[in-house]
Amino acid sequence: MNSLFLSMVTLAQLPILYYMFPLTAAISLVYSATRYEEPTAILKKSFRLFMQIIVFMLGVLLLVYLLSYKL
Amino acid sequence: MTPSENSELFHLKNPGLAAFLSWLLPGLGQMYQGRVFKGALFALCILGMFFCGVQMGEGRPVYCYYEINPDRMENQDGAVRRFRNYGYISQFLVGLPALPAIIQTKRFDSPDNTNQLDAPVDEQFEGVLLGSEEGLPQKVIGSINLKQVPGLRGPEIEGRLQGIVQPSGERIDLELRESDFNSGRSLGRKISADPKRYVSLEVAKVVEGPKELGNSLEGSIPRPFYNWYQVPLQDQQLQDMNARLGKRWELAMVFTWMAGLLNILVIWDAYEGPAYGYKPQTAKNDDGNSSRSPENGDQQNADQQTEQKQTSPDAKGQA
Repeated sequence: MNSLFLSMVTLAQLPILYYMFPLTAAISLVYSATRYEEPTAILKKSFRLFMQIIVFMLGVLLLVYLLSYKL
Repeated sequence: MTPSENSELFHLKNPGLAAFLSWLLPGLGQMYQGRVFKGALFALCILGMFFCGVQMGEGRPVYCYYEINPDRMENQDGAVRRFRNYGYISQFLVGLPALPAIIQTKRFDSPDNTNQLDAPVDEQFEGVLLGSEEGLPQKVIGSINLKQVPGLRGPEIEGRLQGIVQPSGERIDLELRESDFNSGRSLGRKISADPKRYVSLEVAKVVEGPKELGNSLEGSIPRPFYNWYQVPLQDQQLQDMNARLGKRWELAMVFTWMAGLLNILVIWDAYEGPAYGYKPQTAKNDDGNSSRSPENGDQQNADQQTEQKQTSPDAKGQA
C-alpha cells in the first residue's frame, strides 16, 4: 500500500492547471445530480454548467493576463 | 416546488437512514433508495475526488491535528503546540473514508506509541553510513534485522544489516547497537505520518565489508500503512510536504475538502430528493382534459402517478 502512494507519480506530473477540468466536471455532475432526477437532464445540465464554469475561469484568466501584461 | 410537493411525487425510501448512508459512503443512500444511477454518479465523483486528493498528497492530507515545534512559536515555552486542522471538518463529511483520522489520532496519542520495538523486525533498509575516514556518507541498501534487548538504561535496540554499499556494490554484514548519545531514540515512533521509520544505530562490529566503512548508520525502514495513514502531522513532516509538493499539497487538500462539501448536497438529496424536484408538465389527454404526465419520469414516478390517478375522484370519473 505504501508503494501505491509513492510510486503513482502520473498524477503528480500533470501541470497544475489541468486539475481544473476533473474538479469542475465532478462539481458540475454532483451539483446537477442534486437538482434533477433524470439521467439525461443531469448530464445535459452538468455539461452546460461545466462549460459555464470553464468559460468564466478562462475569462478571469484572460483578465488577469491582460492586467499583468508587461509587468 | 416545495419539499412537501416534492415528497408527494417521490417516494423516498426511509429518508433518515438514506441520509446517514449517504454520509457514511457517498451515493450509498441513493442506491439504498433504488436510485442507482445517481448513487453511482455520486460515489464516482466524490470518492474519486477524495482519493485523488489523498493520492496527490501522498496519503497525508487527511488528519485531525498538526504539531508545531516550540522553536517556530513566538511564545517559546519548550512545549510542542498542537493545532486543529479545521479542514478536517469538511473531510469528515465524506464519511467512512475520513474516519480513520480519528482512530489514528487516538493511536498516535496512546502511551504505546513509543520509539521501541514491539517485536523483532526484518525489513528492507535504505540509508547511509557516516563517520568514515574519507568523511563522505556511504549509501547502503539491504536487509536489516532489529530486536529489542534489555540494557543498562532500559530496553535497547540491536540488530544486523546485510546489504551492499552503493555505487561500488561491495557486500557488507554489520552488527549494530544503540549509541550512548542516541539512547532510546534509535528508532522513529511506531505511529507517525511518514511511510518511512527513522533508524539511527552505531556499527558494533564489521563481520564483512571493506575497510573504509563509517561507524554510524542512519536511514529508514518501511512503516506499515496502518501506522502512518491519516496520522496527525508533526512539524517536520508538514514542512517537508509543503517544501516538496508546494501547490500540489494545497490542491490535494482542496480536493478532499471539496469532496466533503459536495457530500452535503448528496446527503440532502437522499433526505429530500432533487432540489428542483420532479417537474410534471401539463398535457392534454385525448378527451381534452388536462392531467399530469411524466416529462422524463422514471418507472417509479410514473407508477406512483398512475396510482394517484386511480385513487383520485377525477380519475374515477374519467374511467
